[in-house]
Amino acid sequence: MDGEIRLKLRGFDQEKVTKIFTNAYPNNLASAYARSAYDRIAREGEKTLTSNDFCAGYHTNDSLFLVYWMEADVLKVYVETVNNKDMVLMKATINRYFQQITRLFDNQGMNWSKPEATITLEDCPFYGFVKTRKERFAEIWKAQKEKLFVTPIASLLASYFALKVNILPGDDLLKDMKKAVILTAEAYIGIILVLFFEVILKSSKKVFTFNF
Amino acid sequence: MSQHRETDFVHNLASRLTENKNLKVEETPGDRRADIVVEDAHTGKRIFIEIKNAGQYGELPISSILSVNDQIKQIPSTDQFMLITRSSISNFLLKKLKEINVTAISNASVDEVVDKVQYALSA
Repeated sequence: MDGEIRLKLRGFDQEKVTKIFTNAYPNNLASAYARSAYDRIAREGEKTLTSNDFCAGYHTNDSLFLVYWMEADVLKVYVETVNNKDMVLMKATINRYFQQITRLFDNQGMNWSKPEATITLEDCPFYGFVKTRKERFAEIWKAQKEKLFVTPIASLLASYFALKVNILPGDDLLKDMKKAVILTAEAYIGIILVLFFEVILKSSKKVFTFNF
Repeated sequence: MSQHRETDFVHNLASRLTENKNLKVEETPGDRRADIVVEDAHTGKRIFIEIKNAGQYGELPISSILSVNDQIKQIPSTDQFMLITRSSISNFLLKKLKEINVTAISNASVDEVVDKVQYALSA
């Protein structure tokens, strides 16, 4: 099991990217590579990627990442954990490295966008995405759509129908319609507050959500 | 490509290859080496075909070469290995796969793959 993080960097500047990593993680590429599956395969005499195929790397005692040389404006990072059967650990490791790397880029004024990740387990790929403000807005809107449109319209139509077939007296119906209007107003105020606190105030979290 | 569609692709490809009576085709879902093994009945040449997809990620991760390497180790060096995918393959990965004599085909139809397999066996 291994993972890959992919980012678009504005302005293709490999030299700047390499410098950012080597300043943050000096002399780590060789030792990170030596711990990787790539090196294990190379030592078995198989052709694979060498340390020259990477511009930077870093490792801890239980995980590592290796940064591939950029292709156009796309940066890809290989992530590996020592325990290659723990999906939760792999997910947490990817997120930890993603946050570290994007923090480095932010501190150096390097614009990045479209973060994506994948974890490959056997032949099953898992996809990771970051919920942007737009996606959070869409999620909240979708959950509240019914309360904002369907419920008030249904309530008013039900009241009109009840009036037409004389199920309830007019005064009761008027009270029901006032209640429907108040409930609808509550729903709109509620969604404005939710959007304010969950979308506008909260900055985009630098965390991948994986579809598993 | 979902697992279900991938299985369909394997079945369809095997079925189309079987139409050529000179080819012995075997679907090998439990085989770690590949999904389909095609053998030319006259020459004995074989091609191992593996279908790999990256799902929503859209592009095969570069580390796919690690599992492909594992698979190649298990087949004789005289046999060929073909990687088929619905995802895209970066130029860098394509180059690395070529270095280990893997033919990688991206976004090809069943018929296109059949043509390539038959061409490879006749070469």
